[in-house]
Amino acid sequence: MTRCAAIQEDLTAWVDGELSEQQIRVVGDHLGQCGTCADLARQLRAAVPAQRQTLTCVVAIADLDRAELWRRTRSLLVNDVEAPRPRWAWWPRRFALAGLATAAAVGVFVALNNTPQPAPVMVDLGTPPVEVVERPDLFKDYPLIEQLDALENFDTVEAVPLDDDTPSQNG
Amino acid sequence: MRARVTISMMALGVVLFAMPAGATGVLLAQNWRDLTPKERSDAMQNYKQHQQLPQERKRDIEQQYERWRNMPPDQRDRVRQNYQRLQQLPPQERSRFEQKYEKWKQQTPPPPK
Repeated sequence: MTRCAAIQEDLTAWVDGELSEQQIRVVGDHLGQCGTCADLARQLRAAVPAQRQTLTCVVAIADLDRAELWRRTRSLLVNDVEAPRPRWAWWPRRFALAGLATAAAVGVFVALNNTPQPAPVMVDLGTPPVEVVERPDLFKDYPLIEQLDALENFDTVEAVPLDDDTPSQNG
Repeated sequence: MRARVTISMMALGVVLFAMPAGATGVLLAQNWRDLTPKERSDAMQNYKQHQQLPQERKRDIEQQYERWRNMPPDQRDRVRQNYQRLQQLPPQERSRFEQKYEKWKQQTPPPPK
C-alpha cells in the first residue's frame, strides 16, 4: 500500500474526527505535501455534511410507523373514490315521487268534484212579500227597470241639447 | 307522454275549480234564494218604494219590467252598462241627463203599448 493509499483510507475518519492526535498529525503532514490527497480531503469535507443530512432523512423514514402511514393513505384513497350506492338509497326518492303523484291525483279529484257553494249567511229580513218572492228580478233590478226607457236610449238622450246649452263656437 | 296527460288533467281541474258557477253570463234572478243578503235587502227596499207609487206609475213599471224580461241578453247588458255610466255621472250631469230625457220624451212619440 502506497503512502497516499494509506492516507486516503483514513481520510473519512479524519473528516469525522475519529483519528487519534498522532494519526491526525500524520494525515495533516501528508495533505500539506500531496495535492491529490488534499483535493480528496476537501471533497470529502464537502460531501460529509450532505451525507449526514441524507442519512438523517433515511433514519427518519426508517423510523416511520408504516402501519399508521398505510392507514392514512388508505383512508385518503377510500374517501376519494365514490362508494357504491346501496340499492335502498333510491327508496326515499321513490317515496317522494309517489307522494307527489298522490298529491297531484288528490288535487285533480278535489278540483273536479268541488263546486264552490255560497257560504250561508243568516240575515233576518223577515218573510218577503209574495210579490217579491214571485218576481225577485223585478225588485233586484228595480232602479234599472225604472229608468229603462232612458237607459235604452242613453246616447240619444245625451245628445239632446238643453235650452241653456251654449254653442262651443259662435262662428 | 304520461307526464303530459297528468299536467293536462291538472290544468283542467284548475280551470274547472276556478270557474264560477255563473260565469256564463248574468242571468235574471229566478228565485228569491238566488239573491245575496244585500240583494235581498235592496229588493225589499225597492218593493216598499214601488208600493208607494201611484197606480199609473206602477203600470208603467210593470210594462218596462216585461220589456226588460223579453230583452235579448246583449241588449240587457248594454242597458246595464248605461246604468253604470249614469251612476258614475256627477250629480249636476245626472240632473242634466234627466232634463234631457224629459225633453227627448216630449219630442218622441210614446212606444206602442
